[in-house]
Amino acid sequence: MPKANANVKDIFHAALEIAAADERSNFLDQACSDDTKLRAQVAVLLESYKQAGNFLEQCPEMLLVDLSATTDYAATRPPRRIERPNFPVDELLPRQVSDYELLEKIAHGGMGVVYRARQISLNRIVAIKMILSGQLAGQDEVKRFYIEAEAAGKLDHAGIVSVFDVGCFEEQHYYSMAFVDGKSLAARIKEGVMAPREAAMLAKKIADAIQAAHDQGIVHRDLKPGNVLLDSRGEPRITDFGLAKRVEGDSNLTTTGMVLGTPSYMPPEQAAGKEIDAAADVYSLGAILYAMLTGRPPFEGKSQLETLMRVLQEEPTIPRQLDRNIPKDLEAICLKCLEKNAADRYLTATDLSEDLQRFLAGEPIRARNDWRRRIRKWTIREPVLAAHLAVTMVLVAILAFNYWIWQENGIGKEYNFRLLLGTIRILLGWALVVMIFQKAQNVFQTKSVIPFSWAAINPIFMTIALRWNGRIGEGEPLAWLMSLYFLLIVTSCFFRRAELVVITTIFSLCGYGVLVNLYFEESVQHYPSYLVIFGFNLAVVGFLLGLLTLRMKRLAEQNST
Amino acid sequence: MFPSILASMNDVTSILKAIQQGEQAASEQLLPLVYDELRRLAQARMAHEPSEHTMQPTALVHEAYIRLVDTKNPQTWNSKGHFFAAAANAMRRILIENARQKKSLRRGGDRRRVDVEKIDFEDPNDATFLTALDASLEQLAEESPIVAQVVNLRFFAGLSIEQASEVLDISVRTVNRHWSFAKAWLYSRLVDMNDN
Repeated sequence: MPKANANVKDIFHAALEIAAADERSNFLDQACSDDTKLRAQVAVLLESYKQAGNFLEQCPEMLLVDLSATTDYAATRPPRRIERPNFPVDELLPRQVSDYELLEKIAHGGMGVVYRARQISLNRIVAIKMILSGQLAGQDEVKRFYIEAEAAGKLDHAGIVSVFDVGCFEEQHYYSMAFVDGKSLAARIKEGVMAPREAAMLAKKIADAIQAAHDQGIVHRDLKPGNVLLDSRGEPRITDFGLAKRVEGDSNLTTTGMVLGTPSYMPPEQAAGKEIDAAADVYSLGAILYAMLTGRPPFEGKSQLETLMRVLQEEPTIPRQLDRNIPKDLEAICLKCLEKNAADRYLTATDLSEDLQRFLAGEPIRARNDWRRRIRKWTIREPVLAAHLAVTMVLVAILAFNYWIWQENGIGKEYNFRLLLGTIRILLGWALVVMIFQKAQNVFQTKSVIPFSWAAINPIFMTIALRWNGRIGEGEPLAWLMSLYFLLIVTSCFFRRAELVVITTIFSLCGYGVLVNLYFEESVQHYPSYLVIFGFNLAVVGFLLGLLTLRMKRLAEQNST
Repeated sequence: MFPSILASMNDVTSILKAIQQGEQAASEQLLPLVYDELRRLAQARMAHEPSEHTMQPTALVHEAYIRLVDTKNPQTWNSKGHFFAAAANAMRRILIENARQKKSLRRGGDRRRVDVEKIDFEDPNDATFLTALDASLEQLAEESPIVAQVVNLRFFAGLSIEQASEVLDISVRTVNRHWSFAKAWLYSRLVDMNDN
C-alpha cells in the first residue's frame, strides 16, 4: 500500500506534469535515486491515475426512499445526542398513508415515528406508528409482527390503548391505535417524584390493566414509563402491547431525552436473553413503581451493557435510602417485584395489585421482608462492607478461640488478655470506620475521595493491628502474619478499579516497611534479602492484579461500545 | 465492590455541558442537524414528487444549505466551510449506512461469512464499492486529512473543484492536485483490496 507522505505526493505531481513516457521514467530515476520502494510507490500511483478514468467523478445517486427511511442521526451514533432546534416539523404534513391522514408528529423513536392522524373512513383521530423500514428484518419478523398486532387488537380494557389496525404502505409497516391526549408517565416522572400513595394507586391501575392482558395470554415485554400514557384525567393507559419489544427497541431514545435506550426496566431473565413470561411484566411494574417513588429507574449505567450487567448482578439501592418518606411497606412491595428470581416475585399482576390495595387500605401486606433475605440482599448491595465485617468477625472469633487455648494451657493469662482486648478494639474500630465509609459513599457517591481513602485505610489498620500484636507479644512469629498483606491486596480487586489496587499495594508496602524497621532489625539482620524478597513479592502481586483489573475494565468498555 | 453507579452519574449532563462550553468542534454539533435536515428534505421530496426516487446529493446538500443557514435561529456556524464539511460527512454516513444495510440484507444477516465480493468501480452506487471506499478514505484521512476532505466534498457532497476550493479556502490548483492524488491513491488501494 502506498504511503501518502509528502515526498511520494510531490514526486507524483511533478511526474504527472511530464507527458512523455521516457522523460517521465528518467525523472523518476532521478527523483527517487536508489530508493526502489519509493519509485515503486509512485509508479503504482501513476499507473492507477491512468487507469482510474471516471473513478469517483460521478456522484452516487441518493435513493430518496432509503434516505427518508434512514435511521436518524442519534441512532447511527448513540453516545452523543445534541438538542435540536425546533424546526417546523409539520410543514410536510398532512400527508396521506392509506386510510390515514398524518397530521402531526408526536413522538419520534429510534425505530419509528408516531403521528397524530385522522382515519379518513371513520373520521376519527388516531395515533399511528410508522415503523422505519429495515427494522423488521425478514419475513418471519413481519409475520410475527402482524400476529401480535392482531392479538393486541383484541385487548379491550380501559387501561390499555387499543390497536385498531395494522398495515403496510409503500414498504413501511405501521399500526394505528387510539389517540391519547396526554403525556407519558416518563414525562410525569421527569417533573418530579410522586407522592407514595399516588404512585401506589397508579401502579395498582397499571397492574390491573396488565392482568387483563395476561388473561388473554399477551405479555407486554417492554413495560416502562415511556409506554404508559396518562390521559387528561390522569388515568394510565398502556400502549404498544406485545409489539413494543419487536418494534421499538428503545423508544426513550428521544422521548425522555436520554442518550441511550436503556434496558433499565427489563427483568434479569430478559437481560440474559432467556424466554420471558408474565413474571417479566411484574418485574417491570416494580421498576416503574420504583421510578415513580424515587425519580430514577432501579438500574442505570452509562452504556447498555453496563446497565445489563447491573440488572443481572446488582441489587437496586433501597428506595428509602433515597427518600426517607417512602413507606416501608410500599418499599417492600416494590422490592418484591424486583426480585432476580421470578419465583420470588408476585406470581401474578393481580397479586401485586391486591398487595398495593392492602397498603392503600392500611392493612398488613404480604411482602414483608424477613431478616435472612435482608442480609442476603445487603451482601449483594454492599459487598465490600459485608466482606470487611465478615472478615473482622472471623478474626475476632479466631482470637477468642486462641485465647481460650492459651487459658487451657495456662500461658501468661493477664498478658494475653490485654493483647486480645487491644486487637479486638482495633478490629472493631476498623469495622466502624469502614461502615462510616460505606454510608458516606451511599450519600455522596464520590469517585475518588472515599474509595481512595477506603483503599488506604485498610493497610493502615492492618499495620496498626500487627504492630499492637508485635509490641505486646514479643517473640511472636509476626512474620507469619505479614502474609495478611497479600490477602489485603488480593481482596482489593473487589473494588474493580486498578487505582484502588495500586493504592492498597502502596500502603501495604509502607506498612510492611514500618513493621520491618521496628521489629526485625536484629533478628533478621543477617538475611536482608528475605525482607527484600517479601516486599518485592507484595509489589509484584499488586502490580499484576492492578493490570488484571485494568484489563477487565477495558474489556468491559470495549464490549459496551 | 463500590457501587459502580459512581462511574455513570452525570454522564448525560456533562456531555451537554461540554457542548455548551464550546469544547466540541463546531462540525460535531453541526453534523446531526445537517443529517436530520437532509432526511427531512428527502421525505419532503418523496411526499411531493413520489415518482422521482433518486437525486444527486449535490442538489440535496445545496437545498439544505439554503434552508438551514437562512433560518431565524441564530447560526451556530459561521462559515460555508463548516457547513459543507458537515453536509459531506452526513451524506457519507447516510450512504455508507444504507450500503451496509443493503449488504447485510443481501447476506441474510450472516456476518461471519467472508466477504468475497469484488468491487465494482464503474458503479458509484454499489454497496461493496461504497463500504470499501469508506474504509480506504478513513486511512487516507489519517495520512492526509485535507486530501480526504477534498474527496468528501467532491464525491459525497458533489461539489465542483471550484466550489471545493471556495469552501476549503485553498487555491483551485491545490484542490486539483489533492483530487488527482486522492483518485490515484484510492484507486490503487481498492485494486489491492480486489486482488486480495
